[in-house]
Amino acid sequence: MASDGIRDQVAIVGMGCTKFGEHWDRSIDDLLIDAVDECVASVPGFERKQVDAYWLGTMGSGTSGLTLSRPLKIDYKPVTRVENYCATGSEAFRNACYAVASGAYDCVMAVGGEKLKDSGYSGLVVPPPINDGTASEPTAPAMFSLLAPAYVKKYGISDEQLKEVMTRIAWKNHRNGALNERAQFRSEVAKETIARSPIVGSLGIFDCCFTPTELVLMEDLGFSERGQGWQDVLDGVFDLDGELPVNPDGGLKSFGHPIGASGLRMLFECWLQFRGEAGERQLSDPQIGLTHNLGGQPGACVSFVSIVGAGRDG
Amino acid sequence: MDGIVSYGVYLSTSRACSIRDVDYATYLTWRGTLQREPPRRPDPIRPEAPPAARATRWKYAFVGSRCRVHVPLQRVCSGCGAVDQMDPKPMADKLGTVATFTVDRLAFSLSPSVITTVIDFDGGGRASCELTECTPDQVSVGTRVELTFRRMYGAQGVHNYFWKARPIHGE
Repeated sequence: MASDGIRDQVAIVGMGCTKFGEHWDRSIDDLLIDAVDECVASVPGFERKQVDAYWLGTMGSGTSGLTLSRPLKIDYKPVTRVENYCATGSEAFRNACYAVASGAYDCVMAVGGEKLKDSGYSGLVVPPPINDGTASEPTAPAMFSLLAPAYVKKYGISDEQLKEVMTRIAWKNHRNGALNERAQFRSEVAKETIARSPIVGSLGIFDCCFTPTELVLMEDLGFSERGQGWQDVLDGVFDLDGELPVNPDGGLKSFGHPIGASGLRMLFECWLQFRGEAGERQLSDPQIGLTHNLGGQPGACVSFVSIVGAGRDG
Repeated sequence: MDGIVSYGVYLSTSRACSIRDVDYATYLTWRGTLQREPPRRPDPIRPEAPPAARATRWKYAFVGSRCRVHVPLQRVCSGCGAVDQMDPKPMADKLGTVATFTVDRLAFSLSPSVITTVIDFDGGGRASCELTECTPDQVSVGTRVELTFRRMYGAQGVHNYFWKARPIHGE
């Protein structure tokens, strides 16, 4: 039985977003408080007590809704903590939307936060539950870089062509991020620097896991024909001034990936764009935005897609 | 344990490791004499006895299941949804083809760098395996492989044994 969907039944009326960074001097409590404060302040005359229920998305920075309610002193309101790998932030948003669409609540808040790096470990660390020792445990960059050799072989492009495409995607995202005061990495990076960087798999340090994934997603989402995504990238279709800007805020490459926050960070850029508050990244009269948030790895993942608009559609 | 009794005979006939030259530091590391600086990653956790015992057929005998082929063995079929209707399918002697691969220089391993592969097995089934007895320049999409039983690592006093893939020669 098909779902009726929730189109045009829910509106985002306020948003807040902290700067992204290592923030050695800020705890998860600090980040959550700052983001919620900014969100409340973005709605003229709004008081936080008008929020009926909360959803918190965090993967590793706390369990239970208490992670949000304790620092914010939320009393006598339901607070739910959700997780769905890298789609955690979108998961918080999704559940909050359904709560409003159901009519159960009038006004809800979805919050996403993560202190991904609070120790000396490199990269994303997901502590496994007690297990039998058979699970293969590649790092995140490795899992996503598995896409690259398969794409090359399937569509008959050369390693050099793939490298050029990866470089272009990374360059695009860093260029957009340089225009974003909230991004962690705010330097434009020359294509030559990206192409020469040290390597994991066939990826440079600037490619990480995100770049081959973005390429494949252009085809998965139907923006490009199968096997043609690489050509569209090189043609600049997805650049900020292209036909279909992808990651105008700089994306994961510029923000890093604090798991619980990423899905909501994508929606925050849509929010800014529709309100004409995106500064140097402002697109001219955007009407519809799409966010896509994958959680897991190629072959075993959840996939979240939202379509948001500047106003009710026709 | 049925996994070892029924399927263990394969191990005694498998080809010996093809590595001839190992540098001294690697030899000492594998013998447990030399402690090397680990990567900036959490230490591997040891496998625990109850889950390892439940997974005996998979862990020690690489048993999949067949309705369509599932690797590792599963209770629920991903094709038809039937529960507990599949037959165990011993796969330790199956050959396979590399569908894709990557080289991970960050992950923990006693034998860095880690080559991670996705293997399509002859007769069906797909699994992710670490590739051994191979350097990164020797693997490509299409490389033919077989399975080999190895000590992955030791952690908190427990040795973790499982299967890796290795290129086959002269098939």
